[in-house]
Amino acid sequence: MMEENTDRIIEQYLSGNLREEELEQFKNTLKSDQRLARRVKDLQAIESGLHALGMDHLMQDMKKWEKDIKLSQPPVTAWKKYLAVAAVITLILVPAVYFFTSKSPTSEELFLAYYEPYEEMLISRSNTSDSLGILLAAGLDAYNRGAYQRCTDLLKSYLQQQPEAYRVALYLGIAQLEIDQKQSAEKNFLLAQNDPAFEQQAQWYQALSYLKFGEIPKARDILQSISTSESHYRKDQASDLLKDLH
Amino acid sequence: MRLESTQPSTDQLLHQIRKGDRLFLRQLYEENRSAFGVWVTKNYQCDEDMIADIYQQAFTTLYYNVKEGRLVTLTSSIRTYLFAIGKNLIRDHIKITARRQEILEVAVEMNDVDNSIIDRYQQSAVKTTVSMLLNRIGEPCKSVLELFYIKGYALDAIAVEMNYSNENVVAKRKFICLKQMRELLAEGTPGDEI
Repeated sequence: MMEENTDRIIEQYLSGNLREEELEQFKNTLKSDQRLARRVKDLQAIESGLHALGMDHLMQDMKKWEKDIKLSQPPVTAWKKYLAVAAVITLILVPAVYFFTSKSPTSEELFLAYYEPYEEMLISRSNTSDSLGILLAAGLDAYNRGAYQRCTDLLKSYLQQQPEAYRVALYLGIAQLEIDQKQSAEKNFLLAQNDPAFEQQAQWYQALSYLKFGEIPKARDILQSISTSESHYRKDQASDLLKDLH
Repeated sequence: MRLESTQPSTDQLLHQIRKGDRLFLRQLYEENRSAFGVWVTKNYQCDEDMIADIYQQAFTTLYYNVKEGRLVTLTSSIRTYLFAIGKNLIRDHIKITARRQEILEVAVEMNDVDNSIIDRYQQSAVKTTVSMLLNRIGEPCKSVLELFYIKGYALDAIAVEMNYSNENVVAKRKFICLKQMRELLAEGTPGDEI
């Protein structure tokens, strides 16, 4: 009976299901009972070996999937004697084939290719000695952790109390973009453009937001303006993205 | 077919991974692979082999984070999460490459030890031992342990597959099998640890 109970506790310990107080108690028992500690250690080692085999299995599967993806791409012929003929045929056919069959990247794929969250640089400067400062610090901390829903809740509340904290609107907009709150994100990117220090960043993310939600003409307008601007920090990327959009 | 066209929620997708649905896992792998390649090529200088390697590491991390309960819910899409892991892996890779370069540029001290190699060998020894034990343990333990640890089935999926009444029975059986493995280990290598 006692053995059964020990087994139950070991089983729950290994699967991480022991309650906090039981866990503490069990850890203390392990310190004083070397035989039990050895038993648990062996079981953990066996589990870790099994997990390692599982990881190997997944890696093998992924290698196979990778190979299948490569195989599904059209092969490249190396027959030199056909190259000249092929070149001529290609010249004639490519525009037509391209027109009918080319698969341009979707706006979502382009969004993913160009998007990454703006690095947060405010937290070190925020004053955490008052409740507003704490709210801002918590919001930016959530942003840094990628907890975008939490970040949205906190920064929204901060902006309600500090409506002219335009730079905070940029981070809020990005968090909202992450959780697909399209309209709020766009509203905040517009708001953030009131801060000259963050205007360019807000423009760039506004364009990406349009791209993410498939509003290509709006995205194109902003990208056009960024790419023709003299000193925009995303000038080159905007030009590349415009080319990819064609 | 794109995943989005079937419009399952992110939580439903995570549930599919948790269940150990290999076909779904493959679909998820394939659906995000090309966009990942495009994204990495745009942002970092990586060759095709490295992209595949990083993607597989990111995918493995996603898989184990879900399976081991570290990732229960997501506010962003799985793709965004996958890309975020990929970005961290690339940054780590860049840091490690830069660090290796620094090490090559200065004299290598005699007591410098590459711990990763030692870890790898130890891990390899454990895998070999466990693999041998699996071949000796017999049924139904072999299948229960393989389905859970190697093929990634959830307990309820194993119950269905092996005709157990519920997942609690499977959990109990799994533990009994682990204990049997330990006994086999003790028989084979008295006094040794793995």
